[in-house]
Amino acid sequence: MTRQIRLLTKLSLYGMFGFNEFRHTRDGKKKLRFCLMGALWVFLILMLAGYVGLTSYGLTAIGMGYFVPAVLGMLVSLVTFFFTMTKAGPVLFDQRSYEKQVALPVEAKSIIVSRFLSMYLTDMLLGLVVMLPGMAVYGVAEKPGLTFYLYGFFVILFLPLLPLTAASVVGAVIAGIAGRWRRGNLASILLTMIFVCVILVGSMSLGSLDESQLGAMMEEMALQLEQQIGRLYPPAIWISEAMVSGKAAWLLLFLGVSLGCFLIFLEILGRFYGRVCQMLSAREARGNYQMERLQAKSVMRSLVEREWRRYFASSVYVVNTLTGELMMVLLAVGVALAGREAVDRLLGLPGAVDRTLPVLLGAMPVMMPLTACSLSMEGKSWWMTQTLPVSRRELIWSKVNLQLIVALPFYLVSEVALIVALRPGLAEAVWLLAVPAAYILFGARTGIAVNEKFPVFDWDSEVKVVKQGASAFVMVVIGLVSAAVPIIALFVLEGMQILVYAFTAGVLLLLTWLMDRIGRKKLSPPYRLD
Amino acid sequence: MQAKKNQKNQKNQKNQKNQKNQKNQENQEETDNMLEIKNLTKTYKGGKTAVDNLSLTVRAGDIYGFIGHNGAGKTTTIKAVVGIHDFDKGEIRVDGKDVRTQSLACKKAMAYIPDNPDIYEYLTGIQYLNFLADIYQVPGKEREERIRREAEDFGIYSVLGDLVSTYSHGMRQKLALTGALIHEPRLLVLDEPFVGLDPEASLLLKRKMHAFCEKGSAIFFSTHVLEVAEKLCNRIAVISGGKLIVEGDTKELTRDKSLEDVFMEVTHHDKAD
Repeated sequence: MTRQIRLLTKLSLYGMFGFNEFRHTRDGKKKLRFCLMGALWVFLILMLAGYVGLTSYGLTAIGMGYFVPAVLGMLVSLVTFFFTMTKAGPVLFDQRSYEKQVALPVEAKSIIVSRFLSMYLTDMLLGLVVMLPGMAVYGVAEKPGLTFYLYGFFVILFLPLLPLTAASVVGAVIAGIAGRWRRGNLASILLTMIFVCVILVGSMSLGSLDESQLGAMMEEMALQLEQQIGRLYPPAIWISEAMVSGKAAWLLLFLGVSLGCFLIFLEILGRFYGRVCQMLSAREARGNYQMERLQAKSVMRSLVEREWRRYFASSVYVVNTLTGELMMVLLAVGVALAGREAVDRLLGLPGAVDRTLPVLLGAMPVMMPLTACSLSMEGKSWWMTQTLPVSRRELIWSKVNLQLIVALPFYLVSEVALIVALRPGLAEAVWLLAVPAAYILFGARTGIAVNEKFPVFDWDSEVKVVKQGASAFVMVVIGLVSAAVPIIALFVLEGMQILVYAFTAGVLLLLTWLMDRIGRKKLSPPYRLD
Repeated sequence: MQAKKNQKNQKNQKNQKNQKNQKNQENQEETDNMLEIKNLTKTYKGGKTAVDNLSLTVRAGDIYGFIGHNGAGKTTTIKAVVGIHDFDKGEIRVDGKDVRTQSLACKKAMAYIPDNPDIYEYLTGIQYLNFLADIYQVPGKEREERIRREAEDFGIYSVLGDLVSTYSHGMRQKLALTGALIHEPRLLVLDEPFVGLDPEASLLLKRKMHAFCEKGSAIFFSTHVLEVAEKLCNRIAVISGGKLIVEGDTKELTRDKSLEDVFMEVTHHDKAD
């Protein structure tokens, strides 16, 4: 069985991150692209490690070093939970690859464990990137004993198990409930979005500690933090108890609960796995079609409708790409209901809302526009799109239009909430409307441009495109840069807010226009992506 | 003097008429050419030449079989014709139009079905067909008639309301065929069209192919089934190692031999060379 698990895990890892393709491709350009992506990954990992290091340093500096492992452990667990929940259906219970594998002389349990392992390995990498810098900073500042590092090693190894198991259960339940409804995908999207909102609001509440108590009431603040972490994710406190206080019992409790839950889930799942896969992938076929009047539509409308159907047919695609829009609404509603200061505290940036609200709003949806993987999502049907008599421009704008249609209600809700609550002056209102709109348009067009550079059509699971695709990753970086530059400018150039807003919106629109112009000249029809 | 002038004029007029007739004949031939491939060469990244200086012509009314071993270059040629692959050298014309410079006009004039028709799975059968009808701008009434006729013929009418993801391979093939015929293309390009079809559907497809070409359209298709090619095609081309090794009228090529014998002979002879 161990051999089976090893081979199956190896097989699924071959498809991940394109390592195998990089090894065997003879295409120099492709190799270079992989190298550039690798460099970008390293850069982002260093950024994340730096951020974690600074946070850990901050906590140790104010005498709250005890919470470093707890906070970081909770962060890794939340991220793992969030990403696995949307992956559980398409990866863990993927019927197509199950059918391929079950025909081989392997046990069902080996298939399950191998799928868990491939997810576990990526999650453990995240654990390493987050926990190691934190441990290093704590180690230098507090000089703990050997047990801190020894227990830390075990914590990193076992950290992904619990969120992985919990997310698989939740993901399977959501997929199961959704499968019973006629519009299953919509139900799955709604249920997952509710969970995402709960996680987002829950994790934000952690940052809303009352800063007035800082310094004067440090003990009270530590207690408050402990209570909040305990409420949100109790095992995180066990991690701190084990690593910082060196209590072996807490480590054993953490390892036991993590491994126990995982093994129980594995045992139960092993018995019903085939049936669960079948149930989740079952599609209703009626076979009683009666033709009604067929309405002729324009080419663009028909293309946009096809995009719409494609988009809402995939819950992974919707949940991942709609998170930005959802965060935009949460930010706006947060500012409208709780006030600017409260949101400033949440963001940890005093004065952020006053100075940068239009940029913050716009930056949310630009991080992951649906267009960033909309070409790749054509997958094996890409031949169809290539052979249709539609121009490249029509195809691209059908995708951009869908992004604008999807973003519109979120944009309107956010803007109405803010304008009603803040009652801004005319100039402020204009920029509050214009800057996020420019960001949304820029994100939609840039997403396509990036996806044209990094298309992936040969995939079995949508997760490979939406979560592991290079274009989604590059788009996050572009989104971060496009937000960071004006935010820094707004803090540096005091009293020049309007100028920065105008410049930002102007540059974004200019870039969008240029992308459209240059792209059209460069790749006029026939529209190919060899 | 006047008579001589008249004679000269008459001669000139005759010459002009002849020239005009010759030009018309050439134009007629050109418009009869549904697909012209001239000196097509395609090399993949990494250096493998998949198609090497290939030339062939498919005329209106032709059922043109394109046969060759696995990896001979059939699918690459087909993909270059339908606009999926770019090519390094040569020229491809569909209904007289260049696929590079008049790509959209070419795509409007033809329909293509690959060997494994991965159709948009998130659409129902009828949504897929209606989408194609919109893209090719087929008027509402005509699309209804054509969809009903073709879907009923292929036996998929009752499942048109179901998602394509619930269809079997054969049903997808039938849906793709229905979709390909919806805009009445001038040229049908098919890659292994009989794979996955049940015997009844295969027979129906053969009948439809004949009927389609009788109307003045043409079919260019690849196949491994030599018996089918021999019975169905009026013209055949054999490709090996990216090069065209034999091309011509099926009857002239086979004469007293079977197509299988001819194929083995020419492909092995080519390899021995």
